[in-house]
Amino acid sequence: MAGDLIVALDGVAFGLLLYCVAAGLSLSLGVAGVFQLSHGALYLAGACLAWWFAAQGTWLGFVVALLVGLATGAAAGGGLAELLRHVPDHLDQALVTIGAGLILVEVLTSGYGAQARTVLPPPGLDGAVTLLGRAYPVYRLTIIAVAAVLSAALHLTVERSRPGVLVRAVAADPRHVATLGVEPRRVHLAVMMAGGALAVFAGVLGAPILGPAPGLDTTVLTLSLIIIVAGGLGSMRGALLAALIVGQVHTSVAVAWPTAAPFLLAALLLVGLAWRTHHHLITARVA
Amino acid sequence: MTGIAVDVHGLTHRYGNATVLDAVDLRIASGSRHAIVGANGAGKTTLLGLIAGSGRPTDGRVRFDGRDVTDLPHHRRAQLGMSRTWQRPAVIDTLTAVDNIALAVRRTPLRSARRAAIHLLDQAGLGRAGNMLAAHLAYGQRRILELLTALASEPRLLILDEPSAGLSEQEVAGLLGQILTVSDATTLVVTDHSMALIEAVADVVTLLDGGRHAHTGEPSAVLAHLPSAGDLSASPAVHAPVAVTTREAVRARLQVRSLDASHGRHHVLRALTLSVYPGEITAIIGSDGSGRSTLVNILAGLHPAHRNARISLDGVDLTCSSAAQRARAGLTTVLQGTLPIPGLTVADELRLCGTDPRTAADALALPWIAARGRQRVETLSGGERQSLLVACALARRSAALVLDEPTEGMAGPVVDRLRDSLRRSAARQTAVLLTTTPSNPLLGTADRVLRLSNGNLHDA
Amino acid sequence: MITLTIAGVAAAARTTAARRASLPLAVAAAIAAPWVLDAYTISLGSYAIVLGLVAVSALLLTDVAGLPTLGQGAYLAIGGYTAATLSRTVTSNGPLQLLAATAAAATAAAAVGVFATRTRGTTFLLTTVAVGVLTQAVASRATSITGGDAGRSVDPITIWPATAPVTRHGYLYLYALACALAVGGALALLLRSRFGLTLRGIAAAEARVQANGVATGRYVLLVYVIAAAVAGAAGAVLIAVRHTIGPSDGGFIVSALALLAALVTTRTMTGAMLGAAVIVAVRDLVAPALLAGHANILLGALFLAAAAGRSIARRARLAADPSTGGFP
Repeated sequence: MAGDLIVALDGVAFGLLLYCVAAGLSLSLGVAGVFQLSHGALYLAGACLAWWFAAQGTWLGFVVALLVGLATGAAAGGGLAELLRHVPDHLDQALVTIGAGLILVEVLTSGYGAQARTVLPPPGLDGAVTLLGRAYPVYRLTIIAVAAVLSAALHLTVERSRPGVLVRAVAADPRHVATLGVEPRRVHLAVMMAGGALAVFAGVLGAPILGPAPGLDTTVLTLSLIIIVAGGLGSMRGALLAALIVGQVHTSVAVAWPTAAPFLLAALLLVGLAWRTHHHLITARVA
Repeated sequence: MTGIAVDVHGLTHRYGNATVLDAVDLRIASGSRHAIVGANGAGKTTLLGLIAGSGRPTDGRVRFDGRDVTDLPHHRRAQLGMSRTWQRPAVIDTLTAVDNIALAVRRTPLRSARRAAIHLLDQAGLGRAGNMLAAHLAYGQRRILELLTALASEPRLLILDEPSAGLSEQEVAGLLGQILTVSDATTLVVTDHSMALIEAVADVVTLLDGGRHAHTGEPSAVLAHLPSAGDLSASPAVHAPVAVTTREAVRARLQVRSLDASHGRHHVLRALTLSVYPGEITAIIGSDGSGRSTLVNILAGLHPAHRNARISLDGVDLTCSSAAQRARAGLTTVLQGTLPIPGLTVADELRLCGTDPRTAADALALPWIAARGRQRVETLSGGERQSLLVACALARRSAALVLDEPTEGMAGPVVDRLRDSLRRSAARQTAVLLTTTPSNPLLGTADRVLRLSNGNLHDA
Repeated sequence: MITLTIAGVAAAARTTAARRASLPLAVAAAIAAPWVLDAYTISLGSYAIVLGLVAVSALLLTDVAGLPTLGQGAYLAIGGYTAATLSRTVTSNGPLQLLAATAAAATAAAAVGVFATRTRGTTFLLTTVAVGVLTQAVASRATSITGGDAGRSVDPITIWPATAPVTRHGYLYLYALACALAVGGALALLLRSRFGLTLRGIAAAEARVQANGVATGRYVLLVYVIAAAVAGAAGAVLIAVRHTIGPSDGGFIVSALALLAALVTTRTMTGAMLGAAVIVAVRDLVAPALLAGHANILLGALFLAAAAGRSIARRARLAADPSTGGFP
């Protein structure tokens, strides 16, 4: 029983980490209208940065990795935003981001050597605490705390602040916002930069539990796609709920019954879809 | 032919808090030519959509030939004998004209369906266009093609939503010819802004007003209820316009030269020239489809004009500026039909505009704007929402103010205050441009009224 | 050499005059290939046919029905594992495996499609990505059926009962080509029928087609199932020509390459097959010579180039239209 709870806690950590990635993806798509399929590659880039700068678990290396991660993520997101400004079609955007992702992953893979690598947590966070009579790694609790703070900050920014009002307004009606003197393009750029930074940051943060490995990029991309589709495009709360469920499925279920995990994720996706589209049909506007 | 083709009972439709249709009862006799008229936002398109099955009503029933079809999807109603056209012609661009029609001929092998389609096209004088992709047809031809497609299934009920929108007078005449040949076995329901078309087609007319069924009767009787464009010439300008001699001396604040614009292949505006002077309220009247909203969108920087156009504000060329740059340069626009942004509060909306609640509330003397800061905009009524947007725009006190159909959904007293407020803005040397349908109550306060038709402005 | 030929045929297919001649030309060149090319190149050609079939499947959904997809690899995997299982337990007969694979992929697509085809556009695209990668995850974990990450290896197929298994690359290539031509011919007939026209109609103006009395939802589900059946057939062909299948054979990259192949040339079935041939040539002939071990960089560049080409073409179309001239 206690073991189950410990695994469940792992699920929360992974779920919140995924939420950070998925939130960026959701904002890119919902606000900037950019179909971003290189998010998984950005996450992998974060994991690689952690491995390069802080594989042995030093604070200096870890902080450098986080800062470099934030900067490169923002730069990558901003660069994509500028590039894709001239590529309005989602299918073409998919081609561009798949291509960019392939190249990035290939470069990263030759860097870390195409095998699963471990990254140690920084000193002080590498120990364990006793939780429900079992040893539990401190670093996972740290991830939960940091990701929870990050998620809350993201939520508050979008829901309460003036930038958040701008973001929501641009997502719903960029023409109206433009007539009020705000360049929707700038908002798009900011959102894409934030999305990229979040993905790489999450990669660095998660590296001590999920180091660079082949296939990590597609796993993270798929899980975040499931989260935003099942949670409903543009719904931050739905995404958070979906992220926590996906986190549980990916850890608890995967431990108990490995084959079932992908089926459960598929079921989550399809049920989410069915519920959403049903809802959508009911509220559909008369054309 | 007697009997009821369509029986609409207590039909109500709401989007959020806005009631678009309010308990409408309507009977359409079999074989009749029934027109639905009313101002913008009166609910005409929504009513047609609910009859055709493009959506489900909030409340009420629709019967077709005695059968309750309220819960039937669009295609089932089509199978029962309904057919329709849209305001913007819905044709399949990727297929030829023949195949567009052939697809609508049901329960027939494709080969004979195509033969039937060619026959229909020949009869309509479009035989040469048969093998062209619909995407390559001119706008007027697309209209006719859509009508032929709708007729190809030999419907018992044909619903035409604004068939003349965007057509030249000559094209309307051609379309009218097509509509008049529709067999008597087909019941016809039509909305249109062209009263000439309504008079030529309809034997019964229903007037919708604010989502309610106001009146049904003989065309001449109902159309007399409508405030027509002709009344305008009688409405005196209350305030003396800037005299022509002074105008030469006063420089126009907002200036538009040689403006051409298109919607796809449809040429909407032709070499249009317009000057809006400080201290003056200029009104442009035009029906839907006349290019009125296109003009506003072009001024706002949201729709492309052809290359040779020039737009300037206070002598500064804005032709290549983005919408946001124009707004910052002092050109404030209120677009028609701006939908509330879900989740935003009244205070958020004011923050977005960059105005403080007091000024906005004072603009139309609506204290609730300052008091109800925490209310979500999607829970405002349509009129309140519109008042909020207009109040925000007024509070910006910009050099030029462009309002497209600003009174839509507004309560009468608010319209009166808007009239005063526009005069105050004009007194502050703001150049005010109103664009409306010919029946707008604000027209009385305009210093100059211009009519937009055939893509250009004429003195009204 | 083969790349040049393909590029030449693709270029020829673009001019309308040569368009009609290009199909028989391409088919004749494809049939003649085993007598001209070496065994390795021919085995690549066989794989190009597999990828080409998946590309045709992606083309059917993306271009004809207007439902962009990045998950057809899932149905290639379902077809492939079905054929492999059949080969290990029941029969080594290739055509029977092909039928079973097609049926299995179609059945799976019917179950998924009930949900997935309720969406359109970007949500559909997102959903197909997720379905594709989840299928890959199932393939790597359901070890008892799929052999896990190691995959499944099977004996060579037989084409006729009680005949010797086919092992030579040239014959396997011709078998794959015959399967592709059969599938392509059937689809060509289907697309010229009322069904095909209706699909194009749904892609361009779904409401219009509904107003014609067509239950568009059923058509969309049906085309999803048909497209999956084509990808499933590709899975059986893969088993026939390669004798082995693993999770990555139906992975995200394969789905993405199939979409790229479908869109990169003329957006016809022949174009999709040629596109697949170009992609395989770049990955397995050009890349090893230029960038040993880093083929993905070239493929990535190919994606970028395709997107750039499509965007430039779109802008050229818009620039030719006076209504949008000079607008930022």
